Amino acid sequence: MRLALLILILPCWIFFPIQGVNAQNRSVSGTVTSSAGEPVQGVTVSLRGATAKATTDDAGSYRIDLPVAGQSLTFSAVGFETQELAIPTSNVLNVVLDEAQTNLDEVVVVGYGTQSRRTVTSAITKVGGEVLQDIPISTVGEGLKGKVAGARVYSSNNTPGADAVFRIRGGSSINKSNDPLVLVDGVERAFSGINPNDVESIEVLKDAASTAIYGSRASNGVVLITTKKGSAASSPRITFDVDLAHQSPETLIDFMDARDYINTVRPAVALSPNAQYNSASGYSASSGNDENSLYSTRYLRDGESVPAGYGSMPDPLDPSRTLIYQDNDYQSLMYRNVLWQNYYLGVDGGNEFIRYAASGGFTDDGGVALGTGYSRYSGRAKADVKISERLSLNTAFDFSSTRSSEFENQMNVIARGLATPATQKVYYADGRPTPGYNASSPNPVWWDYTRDIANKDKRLSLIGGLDYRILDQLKANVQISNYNHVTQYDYFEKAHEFSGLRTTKASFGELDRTKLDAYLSYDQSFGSAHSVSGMAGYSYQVTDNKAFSASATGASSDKVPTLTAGPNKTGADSKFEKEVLIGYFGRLSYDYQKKYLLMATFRYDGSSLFAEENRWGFFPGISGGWVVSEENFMRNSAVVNYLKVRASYGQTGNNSIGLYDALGRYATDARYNSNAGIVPATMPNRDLTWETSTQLDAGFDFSIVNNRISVSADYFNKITEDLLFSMELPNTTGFSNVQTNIGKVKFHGYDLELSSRNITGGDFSWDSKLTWSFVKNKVLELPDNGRDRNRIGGITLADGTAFGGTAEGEPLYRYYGYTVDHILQNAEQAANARYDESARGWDPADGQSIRGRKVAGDYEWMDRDGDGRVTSRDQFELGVTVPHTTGGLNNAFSYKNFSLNIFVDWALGHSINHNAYMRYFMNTFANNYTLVDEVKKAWTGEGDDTKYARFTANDPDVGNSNFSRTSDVFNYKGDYLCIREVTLQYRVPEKFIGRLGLKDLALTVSGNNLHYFSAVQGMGISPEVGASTTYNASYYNYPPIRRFSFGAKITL
Amino acid sequence: MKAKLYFLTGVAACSLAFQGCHDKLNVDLESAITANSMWQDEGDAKAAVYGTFNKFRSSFATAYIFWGEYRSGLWGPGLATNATYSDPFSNQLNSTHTHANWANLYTTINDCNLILKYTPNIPFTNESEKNEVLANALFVRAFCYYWIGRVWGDAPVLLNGFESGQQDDLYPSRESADRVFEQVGIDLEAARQLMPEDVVERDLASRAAINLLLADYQLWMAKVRGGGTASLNAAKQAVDQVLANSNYSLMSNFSSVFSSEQNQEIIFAWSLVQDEFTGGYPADFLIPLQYISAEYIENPIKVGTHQQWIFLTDNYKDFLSADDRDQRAEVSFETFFDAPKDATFQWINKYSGSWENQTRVFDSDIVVYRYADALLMSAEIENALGNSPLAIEQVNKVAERAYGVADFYANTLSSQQIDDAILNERKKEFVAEGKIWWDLIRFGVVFDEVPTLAGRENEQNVLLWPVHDSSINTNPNIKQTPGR
Repeated sequence: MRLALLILILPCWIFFPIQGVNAQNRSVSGTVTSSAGEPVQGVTVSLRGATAKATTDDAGSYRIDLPVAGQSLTFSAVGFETQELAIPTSNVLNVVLDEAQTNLDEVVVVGYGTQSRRTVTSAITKVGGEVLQDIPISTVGEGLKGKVAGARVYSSNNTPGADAVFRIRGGSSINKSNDPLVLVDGVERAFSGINPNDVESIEVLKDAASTAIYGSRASNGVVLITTKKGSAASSPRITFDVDLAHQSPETLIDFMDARDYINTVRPAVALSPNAQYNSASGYSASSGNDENSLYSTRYLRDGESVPAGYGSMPDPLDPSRTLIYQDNDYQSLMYRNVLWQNYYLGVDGGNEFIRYAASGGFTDDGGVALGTGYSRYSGRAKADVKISERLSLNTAFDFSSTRSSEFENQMNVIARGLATPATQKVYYADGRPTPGYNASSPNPVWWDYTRDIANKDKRLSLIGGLDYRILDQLKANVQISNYNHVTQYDYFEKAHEFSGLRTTKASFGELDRTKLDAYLSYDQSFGSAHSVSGMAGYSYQVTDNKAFSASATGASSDKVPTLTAGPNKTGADSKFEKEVLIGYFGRLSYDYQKKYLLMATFRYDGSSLFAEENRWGFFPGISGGWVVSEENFMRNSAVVNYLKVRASYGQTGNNSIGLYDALGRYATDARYNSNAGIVPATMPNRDLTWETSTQLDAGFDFSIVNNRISVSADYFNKITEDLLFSMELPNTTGFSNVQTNIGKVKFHGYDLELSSRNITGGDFSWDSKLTWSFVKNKVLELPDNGRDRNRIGGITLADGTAFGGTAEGEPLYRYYGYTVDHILQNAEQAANARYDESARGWDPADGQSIRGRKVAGDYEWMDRDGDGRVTSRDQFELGVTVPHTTGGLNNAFSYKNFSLNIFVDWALGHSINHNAYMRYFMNTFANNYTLVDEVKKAWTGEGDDTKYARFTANDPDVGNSNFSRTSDVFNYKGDYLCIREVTLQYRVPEKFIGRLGLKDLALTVSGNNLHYFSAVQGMGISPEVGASTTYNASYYNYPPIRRFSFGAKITL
Repeated sequence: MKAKLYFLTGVAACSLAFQGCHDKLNVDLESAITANSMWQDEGDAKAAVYGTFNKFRSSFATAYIFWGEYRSGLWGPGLATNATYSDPFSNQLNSTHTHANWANLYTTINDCNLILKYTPNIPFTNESEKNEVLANALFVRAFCYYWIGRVWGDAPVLLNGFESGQQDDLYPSRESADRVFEQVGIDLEAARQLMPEDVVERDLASRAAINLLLADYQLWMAKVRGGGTASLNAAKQAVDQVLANSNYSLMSNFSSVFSSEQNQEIIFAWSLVQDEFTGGYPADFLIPLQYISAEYIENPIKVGTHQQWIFLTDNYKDFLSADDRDQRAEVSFETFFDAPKDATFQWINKYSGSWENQTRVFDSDIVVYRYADALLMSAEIENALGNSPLAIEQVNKVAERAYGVADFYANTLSSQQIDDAILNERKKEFVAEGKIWWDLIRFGVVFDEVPTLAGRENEQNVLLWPVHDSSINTNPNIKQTPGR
């Protein structure tokens, strides 16, 4: 396929003859260099008032033919201050251009091309690669939080090496992927594996006019990452970076120590229906444990002295007896202070004919949580070769190999692992780690001892491209790339108390993506006023996904963690999947005197995911801009240096459906008594097609006060129609859902970017940059299901009205729970309390469990439906899981050789229901689930003014569920302000390093994730993720990690 | 201008060439069967039967005993308990209980419906194999509706497979329980006709399995739903065919019924196989490792994979141990005192799977119908029809194996006494076999025998389970059962 396409493309150029240059009267030539001495390519050289024009080549040289009358030449280039110089008699004019001081002149990478910020009419945010420098981060996303106006970047999982999540303008979908399309040097891939040091720039395309050129995958925005390339500097430049960081959890939970735990639990167990747990063996606060018990608590025997490593205390139930116990801090066993390290070696350089850049890097994160870790080796090279005046070749490879270990289920290993009570022994007498209460609530040490988990990922991008300048105005470009991602996963579980089967699993997967992009671009100016450019192209992408996995059990020893050792081959699965995408695209832009700007783009996409009759989609985009500051009435304004208003409108698509959603699927993996069985698995829907987002964007860019303050702001309104929607089906159909194209949702809001050079000149400078994003959403239309507002999920009341779930006219991401009315203060109030469906009604006074009965100290819950009973219908909205506002503020100070960067970011509007924390009030698992110190504040008697109801031993199983239902008691605002980065750098003066042969030496101390100001501070989780529960297999309980680093950067 | 011409020609030439690539969009999905490629040959239909039994098994593996036994008052807390267990055993059910959800049963029914829709049009080399496929689907569908009718009463009766989100009957209402039970009868009669006589599968449908389900159903119709003598006679006819089938008989020793699989006594069981499907409700009866002394692990204390969430009540244990001669008692439960831990442990010896590499693997088949059940059903039917001597003869066959005593019950018993004897024997014979709740209802003693139901006769539909919230929230036509 690849070869075939290449053969097709090549003749396209052979047809085009190289056009000769017409001789004129007079010729001026020279070279253009930057202030750093590097040649500048693409500088427009023009004669004022005439049509003659030339452009500098790779080596910065130009030649322009002029009528004799010409007096001076203008040199302009994106990113540089424009200069006008008189023509010397020698007709040789060499020029040094100064870099522009305003981002108005920066180059912005757009789909299949670049543009100057001045003429951009769509909503594109550019972040320079320098924001990822000098901070201790492993992945690109970690360094972008709060830095992209219009995008919420957050870590849903803090395990080492995990990628951050990108949400551009809220996303576009209700229950399909809201992840943007990510292209790294034109190759579609994930952020994973990219070394942040290699990034030159990141462009985030937000509105439809900029993203429509990516058509069917563009609804959630597009992120373009460009990696560094060589410059035409004469000598090679070598940089070496080393960073070492100390890592620790940013937040810890305040658990009870063993003594307080025993003092709290024993009296409560005595009042519970299971008082025998206070004296039987195998309970965490029992006096009856022995040498072989999991738990250390027991009575001191007559004549025995307190053993080493034990504490002692009087039994709260019988002060005449002495209890002894161990006091182990499981949180400190789980979370360690570990090292993070990063090494990077880069070289770049070039000459007139070749430019190159290459790098190698190694990053290692020891993993704060026991049993986790991440390391990455990366290497890349990029070369641009000028074959002839018109033909150049570019080629690149990018390789990374990562290894990581992470918990399969953080709810079990972290939330439940930390529930191990302080009185549990860490090791048995023979040195083996003790297990946990059950197989899925492990002692962290035991979990680490019994599991070997390794993930290995290798990613390789190969890119080859040709640029052919057919005419001065017409250029052909073809790029062929291959991206290969190999995954390996190995899992071995040693024989342990709950299973001696030694489960062994292994899997291999390979994703192989080949892509061809070919396009022609054309630029032409007519007179001095009209410029037109056009581009048209074709894209073909095929993705092959192959995977193999197998598992075995029954190995005879822990020595050989391979499938071979296990005689019972319990699983063997393979899959072959293929996806093809074909697209045609084009762009046409026009401007009049760089004052009135117009651009139109389109894409026509075909995807193999859909049935043949619904396969093709057309995605147009249009945008326009008016540079007001170019008008005569404003041109000489003393205050406003630049003002552009712009608007765009367009459509993009989302094809994120499963491979079988259109055609339906029968699964072949259902066995019965060792016979192969087939079961229906996916309900087919041949009518499935693209989900289409239509987005309106209106914005302006301006800069004032000598370009010292610049602002860019956008309003957007994005409506997604034909939502690819998992329509929930009645549970009598045999399927839980079917993929449909029904529904409509709206995301609207604004984003703002403001930069200011507060103090400039002299030794001291101070720059600030602020981003602010706001997005709201509303469901407009849902599949007709016969319910009011076509509500999906939620709770239906007896009178037929309903609330919650997803419904027309209501926002997304809400969640519900019970709400406390008050705490019942005495027996009389308890007797008159509402019947509570979830209360087991145990009262030690009469020794009976009577359903619905309450006891003094219980919560009296609000009764929503007014039926006098507290049932699952009595729930209220507690919050939403997605913030409406995100932002960041950077302040950069420099004084002589010192620079200081302080970056904070924030999110507002989301909430967190901390179920995992609530569970530390339950004392469930047969009274073996540990408690937090906060339990001491629980209600103890009439008149107690406290947030927490009475403490009961095993609240969910024998108590009245005060602490075992989602309620407002453990509901917290997720609003946070994070001191994300503080970086202090010192550049060693040249006089000290010059004699060492160094060009530059910078020493840096930096901190990352230093502190979150939030309501969940001290509760073990990150406020970045809103959650309706923190106790769920899909929630990540890994705490945010704080890093302090020291680094040195050497340039040779 | 020349250039423009070249440009246009080039673009046109390239686009034409690319057109050829468009058929690349027809990707062959090799890893699964799509709706278009299913139901083409007899292999598809046969595999669909195994697929259906796979769903059937997972629908019942845990729920079976929740619906069929835990509410009987004979069960209480194990070493620990939680709401999933205590709600049923204390008869305090609510609409969020896991097993109040009928989704799995209807998923199984949908699989059956698709088999019944497509199989008739698939050519088979052997027509009797086609009939066997159809009979299996009808058997499973009838089984599910029989349980739906008894667990929830009124319920949707769905007979056409769902294959598209646009089907008319996507949002069904609950039909009367009578209609649900009527369908059970229709399906079973059809299954009986279709099932070839020579099929003696014990983990799939067979003539005997269909007949015994039919007998069970007709007996229920007769005693609970006013089916009268007609139902009793239908039940008799069905059970007699089972008893006359020489492929089935009592094992001589009670414990061997459970120590071997697919033995002569088994008429229908769900097959549990290591690495395919293990677990189910028997995983809740054994002792978790952390409580016991190392030397008693599997010697004799049976160690499970998790907490003992539920166990027999003291009264029930006393009842089971009342007669020293009864060899069933020690299979039903065993007791051991762990002296170093100063604690007594009890567990159930049925369905305890295998002990491999120091690990419990719950791979015992879960028995639904066995020969002893056929004998006791026969006794119950005969007694109801007034044939006391035959009734006593049948009970005594079961009693003789249990106590080692012939003619354990005298032939002088009154009809009421015979019923009492049958119920007592059922309570002793079928501990943890998912039947006793229905027995108590059938014998009309459920409000007398279940302490947590005492005095609740007038509570509307108290014997039914509530309909799960998710059933109501996904379909506005489903309404909660009054009183639940």
